[in-house]
Amino acid sequence: MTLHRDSPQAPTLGPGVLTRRRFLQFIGATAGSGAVASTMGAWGHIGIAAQTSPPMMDGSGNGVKVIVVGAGPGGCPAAYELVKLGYDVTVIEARDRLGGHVFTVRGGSKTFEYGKGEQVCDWDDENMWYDAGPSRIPFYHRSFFHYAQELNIPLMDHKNIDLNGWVYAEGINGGLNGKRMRLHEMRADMGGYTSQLLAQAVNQEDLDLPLTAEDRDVLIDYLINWGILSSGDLTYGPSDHRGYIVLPDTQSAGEVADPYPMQDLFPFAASILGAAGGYLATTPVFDWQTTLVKPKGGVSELYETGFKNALGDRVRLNCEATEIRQSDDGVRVVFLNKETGETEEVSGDYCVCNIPLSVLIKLGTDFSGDFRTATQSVPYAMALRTGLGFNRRFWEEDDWIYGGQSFSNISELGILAYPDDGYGAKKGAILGMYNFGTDAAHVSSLAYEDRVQLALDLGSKIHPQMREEFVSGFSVAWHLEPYSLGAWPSYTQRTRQEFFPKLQEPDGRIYLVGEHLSYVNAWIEGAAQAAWLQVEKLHTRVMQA
Amino acid sequence: MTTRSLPGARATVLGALMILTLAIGVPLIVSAQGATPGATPAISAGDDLLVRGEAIYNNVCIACHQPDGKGIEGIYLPLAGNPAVTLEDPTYLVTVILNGRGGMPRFDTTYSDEEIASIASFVRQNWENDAPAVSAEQVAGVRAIYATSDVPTPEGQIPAGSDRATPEATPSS
Repeated sequence: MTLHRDSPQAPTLGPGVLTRRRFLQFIGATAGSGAVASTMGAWGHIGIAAQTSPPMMDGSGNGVKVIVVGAGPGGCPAAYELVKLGYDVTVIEARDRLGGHVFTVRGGSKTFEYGKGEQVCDWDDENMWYDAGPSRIPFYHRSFFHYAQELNIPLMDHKNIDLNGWVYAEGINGGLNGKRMRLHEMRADMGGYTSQLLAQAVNQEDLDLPLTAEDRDVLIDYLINWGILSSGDLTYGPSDHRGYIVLPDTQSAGEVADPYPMQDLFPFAASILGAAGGYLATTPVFDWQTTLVKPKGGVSELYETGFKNALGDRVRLNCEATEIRQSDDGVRVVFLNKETGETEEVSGDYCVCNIPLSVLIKLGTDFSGDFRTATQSVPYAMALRTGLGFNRRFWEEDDWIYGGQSFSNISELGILAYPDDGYGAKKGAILGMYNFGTDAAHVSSLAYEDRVQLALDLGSKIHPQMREEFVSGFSVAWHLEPYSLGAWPSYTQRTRQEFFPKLQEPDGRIYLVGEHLSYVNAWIEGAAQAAWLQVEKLHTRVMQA
Repeated sequence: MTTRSLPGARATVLGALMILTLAIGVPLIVSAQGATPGATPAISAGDDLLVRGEAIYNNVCIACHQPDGKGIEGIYLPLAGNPAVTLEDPTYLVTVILNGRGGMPRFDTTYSDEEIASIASFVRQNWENDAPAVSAEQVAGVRAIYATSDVPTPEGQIPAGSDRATPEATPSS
């Protein structure tokens, strides 16, 4: 069955809007529920993605005017789909760039934070960039793949895990306090020791375990392989799984080290897993499982190249919305043209608003009581990302780490993330600090340069050579950034139940979009899903008017 | 301790209080829920509480509210000299710290009742502010209000002059 909306076989259901739901009802009526299930499976409804492409819709917007406020991960796909449906779209964007919270920092990038002033990046090499906002897209975030293909954005791999990356822990008991080791060492040794302990325990027949004799045997077989145990006495010992201290070459077969002592490793590994279990548990959280990707050159490419080319001069940059007003007949967006200093306004029939709630509540609006209360009732979380630029890719040349991350138990530091491209180039930049909550608040109270120095201080515990190669840094605290005032919303069960449904419904002629309108918060996928949801609602309404 | 009134009853109570206010001309603290209005908590605002609160403030809160407590105009509310902070009934202040509001993050899962009491006490007594300290029990009482999802936000508690009024401020560039 051909599903693409342009296909001549794509069924229509008479006049009106063909929505995905109506199509499924049609299929169910003609071919039964099994056909619906397989259709849904083909669309990816069962199991993983809720929606893999924009809603199938017929009809034309016929030049109905929509003002999109904010060219972010919600506003861009919303504007794009509305243009395809024949609407007259204008996008008002406060910043000098598209992408909103998506912000790939490179030479010339600028930001401003309240209390801290302006910051300009002086990196001078095409291999020096980092994502100060979203930096990776999981394989199941299908909206991203849809637009990357439609807008011809080349993709690259994103690695979270490089087994040769470092893990470092301090403030712990035992002989590994303040030490670093390779992730493959920690993983092999912990897997080995825990398997050994379990296998030896299970092997004692007098232990009361909920296992049959056969269960015990197969479990021990598994553990021998998983934990790299000797099949004789079920002990864990040295192997090349944990890496070499002398590599094999023409002269020798190389040498592997003994595992770290159990009593030293356990507190080390426990602390690392406490800090980074999302990445380092037996399997990472689903969002962080391979394959992850990003656009070549950074996530901004989707917006600053892809959507920018598609939307063209419909997007007005440096126009900061101050009011969003509506009447029975239409909407009016008042904005400050930052280039001229003049206040302007633009009118339309509907408004699609991509402004985060934390900023939206500062604007002059006519929202109805319940809707206004909902916009005021969802707080935003804090996050901070600092990038560090280097003259030499010491993590590659010295440490043989190509992409992926290093981990520590220093919550102020968070992960270090290395570039997954430009391998072997001379210069490069890393994500040198990524923290949240009170750590982000504390670090953000420092001036930009002090944050960078702190990142160097902490990062030097993992890479002692860091300062030698350092060029300059760049730091973004999203809760201080004027057009974000936060990194993402913090819903609770209460606020989901009470306010979230209200936010998803339009207030008069105004529809909100953004990741805050989904359950996939803090991901661009959530914003695109919300854009599709709201465009479908808006178009249905216009077609029925 | 705290009694939880039903939404309808609260409106009636509010209505009655407003009429009473007009009748006798005495400003009453409108508080349908939370601590008994006007009661001074039976704790000593000792050094420990304020020292701890100051430490948290200087580590976390200054990022937005600034060391001088004046915030950033139109963006982050001032705490110094802000009547919403020094109401005799601290319920609104504690609610904002616990639940957050817009750009103000929530701290309910970050800090204990004691820690939130210390932050609230510190901001109520630092700079030119002079209001009674807040106890951990009072914080626990406010938490309890939001423990179930079917209790709506007690809007009647939010005083005029806070950002609850029609927002007109433009973020400065």
